[in-house]
Amino acid sequence: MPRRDRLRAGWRVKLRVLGALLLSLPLVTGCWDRLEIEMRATVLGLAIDLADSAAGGETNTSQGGSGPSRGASDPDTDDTRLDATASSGIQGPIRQHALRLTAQIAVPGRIPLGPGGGGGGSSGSSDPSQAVWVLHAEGLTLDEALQNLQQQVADRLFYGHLRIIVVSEALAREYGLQKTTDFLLRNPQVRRTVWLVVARANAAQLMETAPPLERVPALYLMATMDHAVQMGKFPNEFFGIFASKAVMKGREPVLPYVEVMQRDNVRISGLALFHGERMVATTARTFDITSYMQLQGVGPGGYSIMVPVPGQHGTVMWQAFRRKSKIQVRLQDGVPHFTVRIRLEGNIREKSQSGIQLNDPRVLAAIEQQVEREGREGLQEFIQRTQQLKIDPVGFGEYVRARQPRYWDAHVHTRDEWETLYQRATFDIQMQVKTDRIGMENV
Amino acid sequence: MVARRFQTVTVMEASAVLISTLIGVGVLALPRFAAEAGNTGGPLVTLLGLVIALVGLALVTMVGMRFPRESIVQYGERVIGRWPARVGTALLILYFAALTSLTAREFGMVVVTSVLERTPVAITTIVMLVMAAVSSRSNMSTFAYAHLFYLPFILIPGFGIVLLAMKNATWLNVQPWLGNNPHPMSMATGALTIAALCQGSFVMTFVVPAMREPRRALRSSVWAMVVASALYLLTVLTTIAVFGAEATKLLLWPTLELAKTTMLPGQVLERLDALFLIVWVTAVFTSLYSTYALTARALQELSGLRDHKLLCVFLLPYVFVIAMLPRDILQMYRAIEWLGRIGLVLTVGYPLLLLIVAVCRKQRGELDAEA
Repeated sequence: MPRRDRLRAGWRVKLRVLGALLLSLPLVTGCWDRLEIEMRATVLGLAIDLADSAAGGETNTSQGGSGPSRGASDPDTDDTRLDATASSGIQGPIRQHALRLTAQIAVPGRIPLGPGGGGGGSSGSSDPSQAVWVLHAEGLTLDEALQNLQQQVADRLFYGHLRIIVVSEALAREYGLQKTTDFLLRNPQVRRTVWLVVARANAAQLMETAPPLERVPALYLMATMDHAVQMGKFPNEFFGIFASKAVMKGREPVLPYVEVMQRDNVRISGLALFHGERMVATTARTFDITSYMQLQGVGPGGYSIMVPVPGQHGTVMWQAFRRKSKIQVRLQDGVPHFTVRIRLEGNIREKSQSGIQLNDPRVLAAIEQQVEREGREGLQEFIQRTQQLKIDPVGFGEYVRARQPRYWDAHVHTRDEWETLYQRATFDIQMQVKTDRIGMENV
Repeated sequence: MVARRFQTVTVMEASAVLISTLIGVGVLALPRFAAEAGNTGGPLVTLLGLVIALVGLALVTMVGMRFPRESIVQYGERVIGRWPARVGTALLILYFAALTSLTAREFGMVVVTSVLERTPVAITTIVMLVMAAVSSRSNMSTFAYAHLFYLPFILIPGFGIVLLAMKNATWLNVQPWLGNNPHPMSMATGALTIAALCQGSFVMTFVVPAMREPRRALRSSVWAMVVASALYLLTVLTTIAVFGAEATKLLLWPTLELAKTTMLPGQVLERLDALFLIVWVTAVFTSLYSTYALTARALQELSGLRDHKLLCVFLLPYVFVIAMLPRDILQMYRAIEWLGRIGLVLTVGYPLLLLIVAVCRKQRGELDAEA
C-alpha cells in the first residue's frame, strides 16, 4: 500500500515541522532584561547631603503621600521633609537624619558623543544645564532615597554609568558613610572605579554647577579627578579602594576633599581622612597630598614647591616627576620603628631672580638640599598630625601586619589597638633629591 | 566491552579536556574561599588545595592507565567485585549529578545577580543544562575536540584579565604568606574546599580509554594541572593583592569584582566584567559538559545500555530538580562547600581503593594491539 505509506510520511514531516516550530517558540519571546537605551534613566552623578543641612528654598519632591510607604504622613503640612516617625515602622535614632539626594540624569540625545562639534547647529546642546536633568529626593538610606527618586522618574534608573558621588562633609563626619556605601557595593551596576568625594559644605551644589569646559557637569567633575591623578597631583583613591581600606585593620581610608569655588568650578583641596567609615579630619595643607603620595610611592610625581634658594634672594619652583618610596619596619623597645626612604627626581620650572645661577653645581646642590629639608619636614608634620588624630591613613599598620606578623598577631586585634600603638611608633625619614632638568634656559 | 570505537584522543586533547574542566564556575568565588581560610595566606591555601587535587587526579589517571581500555565502572567490577563496584558507581553517578546541578545553579545565580536581574534563575540554569545535555550526546572524539576548541577562549582572556589586574595590586596585601593568625584547621578545610573545585577532572576516567596512547595519560594530567593551577594561583594572588584579605572575604565573587575594577589600557574598555563573564560562560559550559557527560556515561555503563544519548535527555529533569533544591544563594554555597568536601572521599578515595586492591591482586587490563 504505497499510498498509505506516503500519507504517513507526510504526517511525519508535518509533525516534525510543527515540533521544530514549537521548539523555536521560546527563542522569539525576547528576554526578560531587555531595556532599550532610551528607556533607562542613566544616573551620571549623585550628591548626598544631610536633609537638615541642605540649602533651603528648594522644595522637596519626595513628599509625604507620594509613595505607598508615606501614606501615614499628613499631606497638608508644610514640612515636606521625612516625618521623623512616619510609616515603615522604623523608630528611634535611625528614623532621623534623612539623606537628601541630588541626582544628575542624562537626557538622551543631548549628551554630546564626541568632543565639541557634536551638537551640530542646535543651540540647546551647548548649554550644560540641558544635557542633564537634576532631581532631588530624600530617604533614610541611599537606596530609599533612590527609590523615592524613582517615583519621580518615568524610566528605570540605571547606575552603570554613575561616575561620581559627592557626599557632604557634615554627613561624612557626623554619621559616616555606612548608609551610603552598602548599596553601592551590593548593586552590580555600580562601578568600583566610581569617584567618591567629600565636599565641603553643600554637596548638591556640585550637581547643579555647570562648568563651561564640559557639557555634562558630572563628567567634568570626573575629569577633574582623573586628570589630577594623571598629572600626579592626586592619588588614585576611587571608591573601590576606599571600600577595601575601610575593612583593613592597619590602614584608614581617605577620600578626595573638594570645595566649590566661585560658582562653577571645584577645587581639590585635600584629603578627607577617615576612621573606618567616619570622616575625622581633612589634611591641613595642600602640600599634605604630596606627603601622602610620597609615602605611598605612587604614580608620577606632579607637585611643585617653591623653595628659597639658600644664600641668595629669590626662589625657584621645583617640580617632582618621579618618586619612589620604601618603608621598612622593625621593632624597637616594643614599638614599631619605621624607616622611610624616598627618592625624588624633578625639574626646575622657574626662578624668581636672574641672579640665581642654576648652572652652578653648588647652587643646584643647595636647592636640592632645601627641597629635601622642606619635603622631610612636610612628611614629619603630616605623620605627627595623623598620630595626634589617632588615624593611620598611610597604612604603616599594614607594613607591621605584613612584615612583623608575630608582633601584629600578638598585639593587634582591632583597628583601635593598632592606632593606639601607632601613636607611639617612631620614624626615621630619609630623602634623596635629584634635579634632572632645568628647562629650556641655560642659566 | 563497549569502547574500542573511538580511540583517537591525543595527549594534548586530553590536557585540553582537563584544563577547561578544571577552570569552571568555582573561579568566581575561589579567592573568597582562600581568604576566608587563610586571609593573606590565601595563595598558600590554594596551593595546598591544588596539590590535593593533583593527587586525586593522578590516582584516577594511574588506575585508568592500569586498565587502559576500560572506564572505572568496568574495571571496578573486576577489581572489587560486581556489587561493591556497582554501589561505588551509583554513588559516583549521584555525586556528579549533584555536582552538575549545583554548578549550573551557581552559574544561574551569578548571571541573575550580576547581569540579568529580572530573569528567573530557573531559566538561566536550565539553558546551561540543556546545552550540556545536548552536547553530551556526542562521542569522546567530539568531546575532546570541543574542549580543545574552547580552550584558547578560556585561557587567553583568563590570564589576560588577571595580568591586567595586577596593575592595581599592592603586594603588601598578600604578606605574610602564611597568613595572620594562621589557623591550621581552617586552612586545611579551605584547602579541601578548593580541591573540591577541581573534581570535574574525574572525567579522566572516561578520557583514558578513548586515548590513542593511554600510557601517556599521566603526562596530560600533570600538564593540565600545572596550567590550571597557574591560573588559580594567579587569580587568588592578584585578587587578594588588589582588595586585601579582609575585603576579599566580604565579596561574594571577588574575581568578578576584580574584572570590574580592571580597565583595558587606552580607554578601550573601562570595566572588564562583561568580557570576563563571556569567558566565564565558556568555562562553565566546558566544565558542565564534562561532568554531565561523565554522569551520563557512567549511568550508561552501569545500566548496560549500548548508547548514552537517550540517557543524556532522561537525566535532564533530575539534574534540573536537584539544581532548584537550594532555597537561596547562601544555602547554595553551604551545599557546594559541604558536598564538595564530602565528594573528595569518593573522587579521591574510590580510585585509591581500586588502585591498592588492583596492585595487591596483580590485576591489569589489556591494551589491544591495533591501537
